[in-house]
Amino acid sequence: MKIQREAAWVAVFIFVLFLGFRGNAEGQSAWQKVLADAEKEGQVSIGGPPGDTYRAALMEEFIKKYPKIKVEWDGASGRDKMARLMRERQTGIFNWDLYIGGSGSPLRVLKPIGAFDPFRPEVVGPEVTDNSKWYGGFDFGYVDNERKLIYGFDATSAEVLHVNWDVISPKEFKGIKDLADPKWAGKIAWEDPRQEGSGLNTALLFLLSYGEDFLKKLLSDPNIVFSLDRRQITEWIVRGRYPIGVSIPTDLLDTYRDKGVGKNVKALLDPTLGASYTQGFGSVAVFNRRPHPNATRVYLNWLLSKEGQTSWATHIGGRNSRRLDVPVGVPELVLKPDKKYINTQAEEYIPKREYIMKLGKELIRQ
Amino acid sequence: MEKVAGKTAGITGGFRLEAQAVAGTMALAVVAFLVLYPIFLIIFNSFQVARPGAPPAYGLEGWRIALSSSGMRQAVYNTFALLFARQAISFPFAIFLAWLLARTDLPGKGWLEFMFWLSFFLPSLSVTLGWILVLDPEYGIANQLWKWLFGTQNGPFNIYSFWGIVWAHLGHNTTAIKVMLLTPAFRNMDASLEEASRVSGASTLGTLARILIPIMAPVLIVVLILAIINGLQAFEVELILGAPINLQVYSTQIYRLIHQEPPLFGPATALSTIVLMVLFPLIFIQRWLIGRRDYTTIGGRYQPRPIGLGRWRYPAFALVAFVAVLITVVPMAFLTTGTFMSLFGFFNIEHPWTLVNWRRVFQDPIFLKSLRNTLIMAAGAGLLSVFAFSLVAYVIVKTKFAWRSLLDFISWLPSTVPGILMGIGLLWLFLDSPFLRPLYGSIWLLILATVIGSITLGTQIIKSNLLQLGKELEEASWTSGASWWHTYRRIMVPLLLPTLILVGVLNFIHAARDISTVALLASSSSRTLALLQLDFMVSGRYESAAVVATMVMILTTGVALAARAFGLKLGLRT
Amino acid sequence: MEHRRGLFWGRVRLRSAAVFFKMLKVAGLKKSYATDRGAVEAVREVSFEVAKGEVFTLLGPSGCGKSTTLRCIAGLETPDAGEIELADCVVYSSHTGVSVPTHERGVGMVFQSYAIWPHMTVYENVVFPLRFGPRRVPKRELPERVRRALRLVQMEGMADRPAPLLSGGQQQRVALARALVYEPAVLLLDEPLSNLDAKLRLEMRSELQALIRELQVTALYVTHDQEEALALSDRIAVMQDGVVQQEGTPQEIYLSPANAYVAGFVGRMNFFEGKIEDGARNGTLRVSLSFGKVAVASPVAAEAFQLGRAVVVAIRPEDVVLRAEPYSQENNAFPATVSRLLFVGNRIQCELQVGSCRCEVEAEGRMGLRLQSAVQVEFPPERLSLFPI
Repeated sequence: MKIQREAAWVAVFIFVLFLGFRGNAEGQSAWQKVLADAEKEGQVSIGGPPGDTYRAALMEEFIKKYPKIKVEWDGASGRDKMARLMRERQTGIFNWDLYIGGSGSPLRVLKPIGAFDPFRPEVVGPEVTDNSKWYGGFDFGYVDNERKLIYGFDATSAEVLHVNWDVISPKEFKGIKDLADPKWAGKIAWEDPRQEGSGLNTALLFLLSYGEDFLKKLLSDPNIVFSLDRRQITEWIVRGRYPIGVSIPTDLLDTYRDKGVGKNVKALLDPTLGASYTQGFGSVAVFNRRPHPNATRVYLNWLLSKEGQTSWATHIGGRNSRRLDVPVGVPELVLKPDKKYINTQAEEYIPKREYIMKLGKELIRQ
Repeated sequence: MEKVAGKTAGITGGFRLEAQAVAGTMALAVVAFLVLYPIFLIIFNSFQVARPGAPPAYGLEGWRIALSSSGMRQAVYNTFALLFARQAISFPFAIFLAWLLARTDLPGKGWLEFMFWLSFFLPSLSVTLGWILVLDPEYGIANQLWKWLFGTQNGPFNIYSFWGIVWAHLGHNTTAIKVMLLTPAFRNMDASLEEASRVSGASTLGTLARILIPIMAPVLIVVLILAIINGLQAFEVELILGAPINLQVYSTQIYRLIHQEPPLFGPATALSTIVLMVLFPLIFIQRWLIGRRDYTTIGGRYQPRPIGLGRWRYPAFALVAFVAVLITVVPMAFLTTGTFMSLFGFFNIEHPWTLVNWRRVFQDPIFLKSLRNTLIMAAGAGLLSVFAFSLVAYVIVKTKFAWRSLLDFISWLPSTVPGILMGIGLLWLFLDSPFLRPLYGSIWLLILATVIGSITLGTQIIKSNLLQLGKELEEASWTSGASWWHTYRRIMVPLLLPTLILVGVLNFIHAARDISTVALLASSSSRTLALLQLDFMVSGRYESAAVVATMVMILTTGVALAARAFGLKLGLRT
Repeated sequence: MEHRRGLFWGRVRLRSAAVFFKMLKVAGLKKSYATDRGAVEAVREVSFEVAKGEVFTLLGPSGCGKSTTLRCIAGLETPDAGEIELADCVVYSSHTGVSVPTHERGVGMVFQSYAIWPHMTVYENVVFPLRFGPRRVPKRELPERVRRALRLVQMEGMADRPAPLLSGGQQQRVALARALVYEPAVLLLDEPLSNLDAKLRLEMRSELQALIRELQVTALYVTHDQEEALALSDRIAVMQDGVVQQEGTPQEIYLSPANAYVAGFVGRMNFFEGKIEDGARNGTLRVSLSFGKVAVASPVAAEAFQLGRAVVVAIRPEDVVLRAEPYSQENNAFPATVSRLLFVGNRIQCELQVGSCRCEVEAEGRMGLRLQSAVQVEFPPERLSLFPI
């Protein structure tokens, strides 16, 4: 009798094993099918961020892994693309599979015209959606209100204020509130918040942390220079012409610091300011009526995998991926586990951003 | 009687009347479609007020914003203020320079004229980059020199200012084009008109003021209007130099509106319609002036002898040479210098000079692709423009096609629309029309766009040359028995060939350095060098931008030099 | 170059009291131009003088230097060497380095293309020298002076007409009025009639002549039309290749040309080549031509022609005597056949074949001549000219 019971258990055990094995094989072959179809499609069309570093990170690395899938890469700046994309879709031309870039354009322009399909179903790879591998879990990354369409895979905390400490002594300038001090008249430059950009991000942060009056005071200050030229304000702070800079682009700043100029330009961290982060150019969305659905899935899978995110973090200077198992791009700007951050680029803040832009147009006298 | 004559003319030779009508209608239809439809779309869309994604709704919201928003009004004001400042300075100066070059015994005339020719072909963005290195308020060489010489804290020059923008234009294109257009016209004036004045007692300068300028008045006005129309299209310089001080002009304002999210086409197109209406009367004036018979014929049997400058000869030479060098050698030299800097504008860092910019750009596959695209596009534009413009000019001048003055009028329109808006209009045109849609995204779109955008000048040049050739040459051929086609091939084309080559070269260069028209049209596979340069500048990477700018400059000046070596000169014959 | 103030009309008036006062003196004028093929000497060595009230013509083909000479006098060109004096005032001298600029010389000039300023009316064209020239006139006198000048050229009612609306003849008159309005010391005329059609040209020629005589203005006239020169001038200088070939009255030039060139240029001339056969004998030279021997009576400088010298015998067509039938056996008579006939109304211009030479003859219109008729030509000895080859 005993042997019969043991044999039964072994049989059951083998049967369960067999089932599990078969299940895995099915999962595998589904993926193989997607891959095979993607290779038949032969191409994925991506509208990506401008510049050769992004292209290297997002296109060339992918091609190395999947040489049979071509990538058509449009690296025009987001705003240039928008007008074209809109009109194309209006006239029935659907050329694009994926959007990768800043979240502003897709939120304000493409989402309202219904250009995107839900994102989650397209992410089919096995280990990609593992919650333990992502900051805040996989679903933390959505930028749109419905948390369905636009996904941010980058999260880098923002340095909003830089000071050239060669020119200004740390004893005199302590925090953000000092911006309103008339002592610093003629020494502050700020990327123009009347236009979408990091200047606007900072203005939003000020609004949320310090209230409308403070922001209005700053915007109406005639001595603050609001410039559209990111290179200019970086150069100004590095040369000490405007030694206090709001929303200085850190990537540009690094090119100067690498060459030995402006070594003493450093961010001022003010604890009274709410911590914030942005996705930079690291958000992605899937176009509906896309021409290469399978290739899209393969690409997305790669992008959100460890390899893709490693490529992102290592190629792009000054940004961090939200994946926890990839190298850190900028240690000071990585999101800390238990801290609360504001995503200034989230869709919920768009009305406030528009309000600030309107304020800016009224108050800024330049 | 007339009927008989007409029939005879049709039979003995030449272009039969029916064939004329067919060709003329075709030309008119194509040109009208490609020019009027985008403009119509622009005007039409200025009344479109719905947000994207919503069904179309119409209203005057766009107009309201365009007219009432202070930013717009400031931009329009700036546009005209800059234009006025530029013309007020360059115009008298150009007249003086053209007079010196055309009618006096200034030494070294050939070289000086050549340098103005060269300056005309330098791309404006490249030149601006060069001038930034000289006139930047912080590190500009001129300022540093000043500080060193006079020991002051700051130099007085600031290129990022109203007058900086004026300078960047003056020091590049504005003066050169006027000198180039006026010099041949001045040269062709009957010298005895001036001599009669001198014999009657007026001094040299008195003759210049009382005789030459009033007689040349139609030419001067034509050139001035051309300059105004061109000036309104100014874009790249203001984009770069105006950004730090938030100085907007008409074209950059439109650019910004389109780059809002979502793009604000309504106010953008409304703004451009307003300016279009302002420019409309200028077109009529232009056509009227050019159409009048010019009564200053080349007379006399002798060569028009140059006026002696006496002891002013070498000072005048020094002045003109200084100006010529200033507008060519200075920006070119500084731009090239800038390409070797590791940080653009930083002369005092540890390792200021490097070759890495060149290496990086050349190794970038996008650069080579852009170069290839630029060459293809420019060559295509050059060839297409020669065929298209010569046909249009021929229909206007040589046929009796009933609608030919309408055709002529339409050919003036693209010059009144700024490049960006033409680009948008063409974008909509290409997406809307089913038989043009396959071209979308290809380089053909860019070729067509630049050709349409530059139809005005090219057609006018060929027209004036055709007018000069006169009817007798053709008639002699017909009465000798040659058919229309043979006449065209063996008589007209060889005689026209220099002009056709000139137009081809002009359009090649125009296409190679065009930015505003193609900014919105270029897809990823059809990016050009000029756009690449703009991309670099907008993202702040001036070092790479300088390299690309130098490449564009080498391309355009190389072609200009080659053309000059073949003896081509630009002239506006009335 | 030193610049001096120009002329004053008052001074001229005083000085020019003497009838034979020389208003224009040109001495040793030289001017060459640099062209692609090297230096071209336009004026090689030209000297002449023009008395007050005289009409002096420079006659020659294009390229002979006449226009250049005129322009040097006007100041529009600067000579390389020489001297120019206008009304006793040196306006150019290569010795002393004087060169008065054009607008101070106070000459009046009529251009070949008239050079009427198209942006002005007739009045404004004519008043210009009075307003800007070296002899300014007070404003209130201007209309009267202009009216006077226009009346001279019979354009009085046209003062307000815009210049582009004028015909060719009218433009020419306005040009003349403008040149004369400030009563210049010398009037320079640069082929003023060559742009007119034939009939108008003849009309204007006589009007011009009458006007110049009436005003007694000193004029320097330049033309290539020898008929015009003969009709208008007091004296002519025939120019070729930058030098004056002969200077004299129209009669002298026509009837006694100094050399073969002048002979051929002014009027039509028959030339026959031959050799001196006989020395000078009581003033007559015998020359053997291809079709026979002729006697030439009292040629100029007969001693220069030795025996055997190669020469050219010349005779004007109108001096050749034509007889319909050969009947005379006189000297200098030869048979000929008519090879070409041109009936021009009052005369017949014939071309005859005399031996192997061609001879142009003018016959009366009523003479019955036909092609290939046999005729006789006679060359009166005193009408023959002789030139060395």
